[in-house]
Amino acid sequence: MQLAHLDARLPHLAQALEALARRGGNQEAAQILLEDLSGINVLVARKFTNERTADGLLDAFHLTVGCISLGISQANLPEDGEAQLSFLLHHGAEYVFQMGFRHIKELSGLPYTAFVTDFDNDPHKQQLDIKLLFAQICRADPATAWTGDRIYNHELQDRKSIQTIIDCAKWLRKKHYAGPVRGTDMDAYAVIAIAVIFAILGDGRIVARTGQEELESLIRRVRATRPDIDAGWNELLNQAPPEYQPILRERMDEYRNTIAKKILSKTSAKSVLIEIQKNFAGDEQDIDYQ
Amino acid sequence: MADNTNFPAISRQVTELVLAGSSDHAEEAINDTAEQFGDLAVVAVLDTLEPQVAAMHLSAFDGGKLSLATLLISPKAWAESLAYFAAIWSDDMIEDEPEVLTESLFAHVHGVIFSSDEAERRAALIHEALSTDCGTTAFAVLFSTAIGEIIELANDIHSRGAHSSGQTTSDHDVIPLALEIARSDSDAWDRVLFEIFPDWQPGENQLRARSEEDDDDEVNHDYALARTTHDLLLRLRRQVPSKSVSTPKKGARPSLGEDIFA
Repeated sequence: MQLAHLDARLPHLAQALEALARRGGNQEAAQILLEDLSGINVLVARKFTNERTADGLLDAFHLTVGCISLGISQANLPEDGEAQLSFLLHHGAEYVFQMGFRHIKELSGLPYTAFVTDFDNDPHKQQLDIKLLFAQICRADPATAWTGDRIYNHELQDRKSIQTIIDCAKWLRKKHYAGPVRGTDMDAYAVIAIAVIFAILGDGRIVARTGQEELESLIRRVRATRPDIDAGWNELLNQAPPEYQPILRERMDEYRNTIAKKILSKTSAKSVLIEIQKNFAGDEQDIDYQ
Repeated sequence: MADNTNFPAISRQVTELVLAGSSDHAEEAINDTAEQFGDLAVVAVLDTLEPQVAAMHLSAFDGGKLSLATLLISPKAWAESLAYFAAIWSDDMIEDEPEVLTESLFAHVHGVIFSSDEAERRAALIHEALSTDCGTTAFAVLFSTAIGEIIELANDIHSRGAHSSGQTTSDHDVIPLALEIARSDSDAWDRVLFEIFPDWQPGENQLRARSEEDDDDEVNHDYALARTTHDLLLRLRRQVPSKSVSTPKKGARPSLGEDIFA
């Protein structure tokens, strides 16, 4: 079990400013920095909080500190105020803020869930996402510890892996045996689940979307022919591009002793069907039944 | 005249009180100064106030409430402060409630000029105020509210001289003010008239109020049309001096502005 972090750090901007205070002949740099930071503060207040109230300005102040700190934190600098200060002064506060904000934008461009909808492309929602992430990550009180950069790194990892899962599901949809599956809405987990479950048959087909009839016939055929599950899965893995193989393999390991076993077992077809519908196929199963 | 740098602490105190919105306390500080150091000290303090601060303070006291500041402010300081009187007017206010603005301007100008019985001080106030563009426009705003009477008075003065005129068909509030200007400073009177009637050529054309039906395109050389109160209010608002917000910084790179979010 991981214990709480003990190496709590101040926001990077605060560290850099402390370094500035230790430097001699810092008047001019401090003056320029002060003006830049105040200007950014007002712009942030105008765009995100409220530049007409003290609360709004204070809120924007925290966001400014956080966003600049994020910009510094992602620059691969040594953990040392002097280096951070040099970076800040070299690029200028506004550009460092811009870097931080671009990181936020990049993050918000990655998917938050593996459930893709048309709504994701709505510019209004995208703006809202940026604002939400900005407020969540870039809120730093210069006097207390800040972990926004860690949250950012963690979130970035998460979203990148979700992006790969979505790409994998898209690839499966494209290779669907009955022609590519169209439609913008997609539950990537369900697509992968269906493909892995149908790969049990080992007939070389890739199934990315299904209906109840197909599932019924799958169960019947598997119980009749008792195919080698791993052989079928290896066939799917061999077809898949290398970057998607770990995702598929992980899913296969998960299913080997659960749903795959159940399909082969004597459990009533009806309850297996219900389980697949509920826990695996989800929205990727057509609701029509003839 | 007292040395301007005599009372920096009091000036600073008054400035702070005014900027904090506490005109009553500022006025109290001015009263204390008068009691302690005499009226000249107050004049000195008022002279050292920033004109926009003086304007803020004076505008809190108009016809209804008299203040020592309105009685004692030097004509020059008042003229400078007058430029900032319109600073708080927004376009919406000018559009929606021009009467309120004109009324407050009138109360202020009238209060300052007629608070004194000395003809000399009044003449000096008028002279200083009307030697600035803002002051001239401010008076033009007031006179434009009674344009008919002003034309009558102007013609009267033109034919009979300022000192024998003064009988108009109405007793509008601004007439005594106009008469005061015409009698004490004829150049200033002409400047106000030119501000109201920009096309006026004395002896060539007649002054005339702009009526509702007048077509702007139609140029009539027989008459010099008056600017409307609304136009003059806008002119006055635009003349408020403003400091450039972004003074270029030495050694700093150009600002990204909104692009920090790009």
